[in-house]
Formats: sequence, C-alpha cells, structure tokens
Amino acid sequence: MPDRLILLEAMAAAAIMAAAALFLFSLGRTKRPALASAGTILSIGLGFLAGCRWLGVQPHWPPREDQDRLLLILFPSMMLAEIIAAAVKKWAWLPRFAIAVCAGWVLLYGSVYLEDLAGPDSREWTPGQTWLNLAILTTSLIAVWASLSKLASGSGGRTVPLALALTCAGAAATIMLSGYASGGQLGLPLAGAVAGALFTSLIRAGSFDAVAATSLTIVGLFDLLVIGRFFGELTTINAIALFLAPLLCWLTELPLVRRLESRQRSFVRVALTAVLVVIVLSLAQQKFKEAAAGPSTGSQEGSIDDYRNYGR
Amino acid sequence: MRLRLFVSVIFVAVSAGSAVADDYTLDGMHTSVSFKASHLGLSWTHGRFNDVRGGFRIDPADPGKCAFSLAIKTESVDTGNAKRDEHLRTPDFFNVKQFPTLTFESTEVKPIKDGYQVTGNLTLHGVTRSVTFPLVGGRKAEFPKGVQRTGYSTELSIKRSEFGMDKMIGAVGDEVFISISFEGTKK
Repeated sequence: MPDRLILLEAMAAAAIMAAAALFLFSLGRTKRPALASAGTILSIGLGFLAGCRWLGVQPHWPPREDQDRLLLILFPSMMLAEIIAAAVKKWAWLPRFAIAVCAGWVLLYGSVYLEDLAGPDSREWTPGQTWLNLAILTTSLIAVWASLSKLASGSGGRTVPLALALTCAGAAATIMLSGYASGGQLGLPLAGAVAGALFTSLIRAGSFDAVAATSLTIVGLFDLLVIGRFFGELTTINAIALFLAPLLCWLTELPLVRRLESRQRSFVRVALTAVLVVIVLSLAQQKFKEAAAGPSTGSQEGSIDDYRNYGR
Repeated sequence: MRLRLFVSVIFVAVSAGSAVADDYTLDGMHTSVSFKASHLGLSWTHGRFNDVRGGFRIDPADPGKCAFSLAIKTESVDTGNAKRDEHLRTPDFFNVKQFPTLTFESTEVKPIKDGYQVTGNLTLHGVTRSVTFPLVGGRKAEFPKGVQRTGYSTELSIKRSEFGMDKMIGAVGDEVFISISFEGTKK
C-alpha cells in the first residue's frame, strides 16, 4: 500500500519536524509565555510545511485556487495573527477575529459562489446569500474557536489540540474519500505536526501553549472543511459533524464527569471526539464503497490515492 | 468614362467584400469537443464536454477577419462514468467551482489548404496560453431548408500541467489530445 505509506510518512515527517523544532525552541527560551506561544506556532508551522513538502504539495503563485489561498495566504496569516495574539494578550482576539472574518471569504474568493464567472447572473449565491453564508461561517468559526480556547486554557490543556489533531486526520480521510484527494491530504501533516509538538511538550514542560496550538489547528480544520465542502464533494452534514466533533471535549465539564480524575477526563475528551470522527469516516467510507461498486464495468478501479501516488 | 468605370468596379468589389463576411452561431447539436488522456500509459480514457457554445465569422475575401470563439462549461465533462466525472470536477482536475468555463478566442487566422490555421488564446484552469491548430472544413449546406450552415474540424494536443492542472500526473497523462468538430448556423 504505497499510497497510505506516503501519507503516513508525511504525517511522521511533520511530527518529527514539529517535535524537533519545539525542542530547540524550548532550549533557548526564557520563561516568557509569549515565547512559548511563538515556539508552539512556529513548530507546528514548520512541521506542517515539512509534511506538505513530503507529499509534494506545490501551491501556485500567484494563488489561483482554494488550496493556494489556504497554503500561501491563510495559514501564514493565521500563524502571524496568533504570534501577535500571544504578544498582546489583552487584545488577543482582535487578530483572531480578523482571521475568522476573512477565512471564508479568502477560501471562496473568485469562485462561482461569489462571482459571475460563467456569464451574467451565473454566481451561485446572491449578494444576500453571500453575506449570510459568510456570516454563518465566521460566526461558527469564532464560536467553536472561542469555546475550545477557553477549554484549552483551563482544564482541557493539551487534550484539546490532541482532539483537534485527531479530527484533522479524520477530516483529511473523509475529504479524500469525498473525491478531493489533493485538498484532503493537507489535514494529515497538520495532524502530525500538532501531535509532534504535543510529544515534545511531554518532555519539555512549559514549552507548549495549548491555546496557540488550538487556534492554529481549529482554523486549519475549518479551512479544510470549507474547501472540501465548497470545492469537493464533502457533504454538509459531514462537514458540520467534523467541525463540531472537538466540542464534545466540553462534556467532561459536566458535573458528573468532573468527578473523574484528570487523566480519565483527558481520555474521555479524546475518546468522545474520536467516536464522532470514526462514525463520520465510516459513513463516508461506506458511501465511497457504494459509489465505487456502481454498475459493473468489469473493472477493478483504483482508488483516488492509487492515482495520486502512481509512479511514486 | 474610364474613371467612372474604375470607381464602379472598386465600389462593387468593396461591397462584395463586406457582404461575404458571415457570422455563425455554434450549433450545439452538431458540435463535439472531445478529449482523450492516457490512463497509466496503458490505454486512453475518452471524454467530452456536453455544454459547448460559441460563434465564428468567416470572411473568404479577407481570412484575417475570420474569428472563432468557444466557451465550454467544465461542469459538463462526461467520460461515461459518473464517479470519475465527479472527481474530474474537483480541484484535483478541472476545479469547476473556481474555473467554470474553458474558453478559446482566436487572435489570428491564416488561410491554408482546405481551411485555416488558427492561433488564439486558450484559457483553461485560469491560465491563458496561445495555441495554434489547423482548422479544416468550410463546406456549406442548407439544412433544414432556409438554414445555411458550415462546419470545421481540428485536432490538437496540450499539456495540462502548462495550464496549472498538474495533479496526479503520471496516472492520468499530462498530454491531452483534443478533438473539436463543429457546425455553425448563419445568423
């Protein structure tokens, strides 16, 4: 299975790069929290970059497509915004809000949703629908982001970015199964990078900022789901379920569950998220298999991954 | 007398020249834009676009004034397999939500034996590049009665990677062979 091997290698490359980078950042650091945040962000960013390079991802310049805008505009902007947020704690949500407002619009920029590309009045959304849909996207992102950040800064800690990394990996597989292989695969290096940084945080206490990692990963997850839904064939229900899956971490704050030990609650957080992600992934896989079975053509057709990795 | 005759001849010639430039609308029923791309280097997968529109102007007296334009809806890609077509519509290939049309606009037309050599701008996947191909045909017919029509055909090949459509090259060939055949009805 060389296809899956390359995906796993990319995840591993991202994890190793992020882990090593965070370790190095932690060596030369004073105890300033802002530097821990910057180290976390840069480590995950470097890990993601390494994973993408391993996959052979080559965005076009100037950016023309959703993936180009995600990789060349949104992700770097998000890293910058989070570094600024770490530096100006009091106004941290200002740059984050700017990212949340722009993310949907940047990803959909120049597409048939927003512009009359195929002739007059050919855009799929009226101006009213455009404002409404972008407002829904922005509000959803802000709400989930704020909620998970609050949890990560409190009792959630490292388990929130871990749950998010798991969701990113699940989203990657679901989007790939939904017919958008080159877009979906981007979730794997992101998941790997977060996992790598989390690993280093276990051996270098104080080197990791869970809120910064949560911010970077939730925006990455949002971006993946938007391109999967609006440019690929990811269903709306799957996109929503995956986006909301990490919120299940909040269930450990219920009075009954709060009595559990810290480690048990951490396990429950990740397990709850994993259950929903696995359900979505299973449904997507089932749909993929049904579509692949189709009317018999006497052909044993390869998967999208088989095509993507042919000759590699 | 000679001067009057000369002026009359020039007038007739100019009038005749402007009269022969005919505008045609593409007849979708008798237009085909099909393509084939290599599958693993083993066989050819054939496909077509079902929504092709456009028009052209033919001026036999001055071929330089001939013009051809074509607009294809990328969403109408059809390879005879719904699942494959869905995949072709994603950003892995055509990215129909970002690039819903594939267009061609001629910039230069020269006469050749049995037709024209056409140069023009092909816009695919948001990238515009100049392509040149021979266009053969030009026979005319009246069908149905009262409708004047003419038709042309051509074949050309492009490298999809040059247009930024560069995913999964290897499994699906970079070089794509395109066959275009169209009829137009005189306006």
